[in-house]
Amino acid sequence: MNLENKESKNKKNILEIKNLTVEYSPAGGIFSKGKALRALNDVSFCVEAGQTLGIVGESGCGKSTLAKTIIRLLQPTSGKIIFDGHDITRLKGRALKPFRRQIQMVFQDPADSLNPKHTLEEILREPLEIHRIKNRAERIEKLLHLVGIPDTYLRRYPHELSGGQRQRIGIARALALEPKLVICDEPVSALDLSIQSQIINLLLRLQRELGLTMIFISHDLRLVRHVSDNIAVLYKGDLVELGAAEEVYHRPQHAYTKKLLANLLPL
Amino acid sequence: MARLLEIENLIVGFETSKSYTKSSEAQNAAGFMRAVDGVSLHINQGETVGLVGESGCGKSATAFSILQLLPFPTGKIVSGNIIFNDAGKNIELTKMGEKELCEIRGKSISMIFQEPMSALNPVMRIGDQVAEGLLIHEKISKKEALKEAERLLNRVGIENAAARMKSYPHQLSGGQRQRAVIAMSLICKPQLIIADEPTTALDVTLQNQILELLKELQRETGAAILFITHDLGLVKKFCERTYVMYAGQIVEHGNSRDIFSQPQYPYTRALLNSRPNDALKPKTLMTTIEGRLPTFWEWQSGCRFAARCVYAKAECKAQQILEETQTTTVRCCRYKEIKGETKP
Repeated sequence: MNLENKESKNKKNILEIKNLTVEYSPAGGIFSKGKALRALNDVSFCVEAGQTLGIVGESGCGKSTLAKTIIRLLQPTSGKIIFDGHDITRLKGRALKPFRRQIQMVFQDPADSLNPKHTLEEILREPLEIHRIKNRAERIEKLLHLVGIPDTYLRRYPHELSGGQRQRIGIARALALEPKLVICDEPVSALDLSIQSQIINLLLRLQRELGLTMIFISHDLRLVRHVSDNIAVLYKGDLVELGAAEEVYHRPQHAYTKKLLANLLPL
Repeated sequence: MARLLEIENLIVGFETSKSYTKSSEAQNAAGFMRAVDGVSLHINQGETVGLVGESGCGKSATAFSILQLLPFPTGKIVSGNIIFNDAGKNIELTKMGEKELCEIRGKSISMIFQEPMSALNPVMRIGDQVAEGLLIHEKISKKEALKEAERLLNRVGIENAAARMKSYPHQLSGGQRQRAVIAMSLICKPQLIIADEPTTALDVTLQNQILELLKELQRETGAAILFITHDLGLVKKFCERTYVMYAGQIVEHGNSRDIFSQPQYPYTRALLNSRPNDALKPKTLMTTIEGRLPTFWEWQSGCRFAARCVYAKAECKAQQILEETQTTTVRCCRYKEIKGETKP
């Protein structure tokens, strides 16, 4: 299916996904003949600079596959990923490294995605070292300030923080390299209700201050509507609906989007 | 309506160091933390009651105390009563031994756990697992028990139940597994089902189906449900009465409709306001509750929410006031004054 946001044609797109298909090789090893599992099927969309694209769908629909393919942790079977005017679909090694810096990810469960044996300082310093960035101490201090963690916490380990604080560190790490695009994969679903809105506000504020482009993946349609400019709905690997957030939320076209909306709980 | 379960002043704690080998004096030392601090609640026959709160507030510890399923040996009921009306006979669950409890678990009171994959035995066929309860509690032949299990699997909406009886848990999808767990919890026709976050691991569309099913089965069997969740929307939709927990205490209780339309306790108000809603302009900042849930060591003598509360005054930090009527509870000394106020 080929759905593209038409209004964005003349504005600057930071990310263009063209006919992306991702298949997982069949289970059972290389000697067994089986059908490949198609996790994403011919998906196309654009993300405009400074905007947020929300991606919704239930588990197994291909949300996380999409995120992993964009940051090039997974190799697409076919299709193109064009980032900031460059085709990065097949780049490798040294050629890919500068782009890795510009696309960063915030993961669902900060308890799993932060190294438990590293202090916060080590966690935040690692990306800076890999990309040979100077003035590390100063930048780390700035990052902590940005996400609202006191710099007295530098010597602490992830387990000494609360869930909300850990996710703030996850966000700080994603921002360490000053990326253009941040992909948030269910960034608040592992957090408590009273903490979720704090983290959402932080993301909204950071986007405004730093001019970030974001892809916000979640199963919560109401939340996605609140943080996104555009919403893409994935169903079993197909992009079934794409449009302005308010349009999709109030006037859904596809039967699956309607079903998702019908299943929203009362407020 | 007749009382089915009554919890009075329940205090539950956990050992936090290896001091559990020591005498009872050691329990009052620093190595012992309270998770539940004086909880009282009741459930009537056939009722659906919600218990909501954030993780760490003590809602699961309360639920696990009912059947004494607290982690051994660290978890312990310190004091309080749990009285269960088992077919007209009042029994005190906290005083019961393991053997007597086993006659109640799964028979009069059953449980549905959060993660169906870990609640099911991975090396046992679904049919045998569902039938197991009957074989333990009733005088019934294996053949009849399996027949009943198949009927129930059919009833909870598992397609091709006869074939599924022979499947192992990993061969079912997440939704089917949770359906099987529900069948398991219903097989002995319990009077009370404790559902601890029964749909948290499932997709939104499935979540509704599973809960509708549970309600339907409840209407058929007349069982009461204690529904534990952190999801306020689910409680509003499925529970008649709601208890809100914060830092080990019940802070608000009442009719679900009232709690959601006119929450009295500032924490409940703030929680309801901090969810994304349709009236909110997209990409604007949301209402937040600053700070986080205090741990046991940070509990104060006054109101435990005071540090995060926008309505808090000096008096809130000094004392805790519990206003209780037959049908409602509010643990706030200012709730009448702040009724009309709307602060962010």
